[in-house]
Amino acid sequence: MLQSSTGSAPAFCSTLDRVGRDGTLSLAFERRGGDTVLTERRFTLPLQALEPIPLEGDGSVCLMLLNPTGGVLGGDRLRTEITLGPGAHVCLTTPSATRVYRTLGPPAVQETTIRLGKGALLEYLPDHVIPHPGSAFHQSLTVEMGPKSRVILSDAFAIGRLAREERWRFRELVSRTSVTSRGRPLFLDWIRLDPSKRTPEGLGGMEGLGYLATLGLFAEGSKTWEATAAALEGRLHELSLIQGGVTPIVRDGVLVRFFSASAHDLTHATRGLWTLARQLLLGLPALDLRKW
Amino acid sequence: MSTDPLLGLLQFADGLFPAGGYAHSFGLEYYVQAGEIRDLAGVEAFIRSHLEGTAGPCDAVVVVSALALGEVEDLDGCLALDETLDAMKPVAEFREASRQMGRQTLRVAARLTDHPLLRLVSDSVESGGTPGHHPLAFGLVGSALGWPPQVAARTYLYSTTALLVGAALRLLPLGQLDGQRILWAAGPLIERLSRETEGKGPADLWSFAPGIEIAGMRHARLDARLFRS
Repeated sequence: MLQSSTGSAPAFCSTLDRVGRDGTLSLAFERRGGDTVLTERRFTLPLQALEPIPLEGDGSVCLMLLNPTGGVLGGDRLRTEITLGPGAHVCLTTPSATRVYRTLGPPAVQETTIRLGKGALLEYLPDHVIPHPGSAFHQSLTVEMGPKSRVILSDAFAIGRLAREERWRFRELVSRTSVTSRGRPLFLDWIRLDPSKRTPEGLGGMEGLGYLATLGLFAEGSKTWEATAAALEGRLHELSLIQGGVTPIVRDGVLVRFFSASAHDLTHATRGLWTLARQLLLGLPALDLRKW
Repeated sequence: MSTDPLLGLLQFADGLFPAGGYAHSFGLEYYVQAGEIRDLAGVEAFIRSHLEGTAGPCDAVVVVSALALGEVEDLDGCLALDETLDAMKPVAEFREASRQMGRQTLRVAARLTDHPLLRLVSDSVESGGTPGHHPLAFGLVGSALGWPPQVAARTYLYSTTALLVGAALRLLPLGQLDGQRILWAAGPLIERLSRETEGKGPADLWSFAPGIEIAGMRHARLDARLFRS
């Protein structure tokens, strides 16, 4: 049954060489009968996961991933490993944006790996990343799909604390999202931003806007991508405050990418597109995460 | 065949070379139709974004990586690099453009040189075994013909710039001299980006040109189009 640790490891692992915390989180889910259950949960602070909330009717659970210290600090090394067994259906999210704080030393590193068994369903919708002035952040998300598994994935960041008119004042933002299927890459979104060398703020880059979001839909062997892309495009068109596009990826998926000028527009659009993606890819109705 | 690598380089980088690049604008046509690029300054901004955001840190690094893999005849490494690049190009029209130009480059190069690795990769592309992206093909030709990596990267970036300038001249009321001015002014950037490929390999690839990507996605929905991307 549930093996749970309570986060008893020391929050700081500082040495003469290094300041920062090593946090790990390991979760495993399995399908039992009609339900998805959490069968393993281990963590060391600052990472933590709340109790899973079963969702009505479809055998899925929703779980909040959180960093109770409120943000990521330089030198932090945060590793998360999540396994979804065959047929499990899990929705993962965060309670709020990930703030990355100023550092003079090494970057904060956050690595997340999610492995899906046959027919598993994953919805991964963390809030956006906000890099504070002087921050350095290296994040990676690796999703290994299983046969007939389906994934909805969201990823977004701001170019600073825009409410304070801060733009491009972080030191470095490196992000590597990799989705693979049967060991072969489906979608590799590898970016590197270093505003001391270049601020891609204008035409061709961020187009003068402050938030960039990506929503990916992936499913092995689906035949309906054209209709899915058309429906997403229709929804994008209705969301007049954002600018975006839709494209089929190399195989087994479509990608939506959009800019927004405010966090409110970003959240509103992500929610609208995710609701549609849920309906199209999973055949499920809208879900209220009670945080929006 | 000439023993001077420069001649081969000129031939493969020439606008006359039938890679099919003339059919592509890589998002520029969308910007022009949307009224967001109207003049020389707009074209320059677009080209700068394309080079700094994706052609330099991604495609040119693939060129030098492929050249290194070609030197040691590492076919599996080439195929893995090709697959990586395929997944790094999420925009369908850009992915197709790069595949088409690569396929054509390999086809011609395999026939002209009869080089074993070029033949193998070209055959694999023709049979659907690998996508055959343009920077990979260009780097492999470079290894077969003895181009120094930096020169290959610089030439690739120059060719890309020339292709975009060619598209701009057809889309906007710009003169030939304007086109040459843009190419001339891009020189220092091309030089810097090719220098930055030094010592880099597949693990260093990145790309960030979201505006151009969204333009490429929207281009596919334009009613009247001159270009395929």
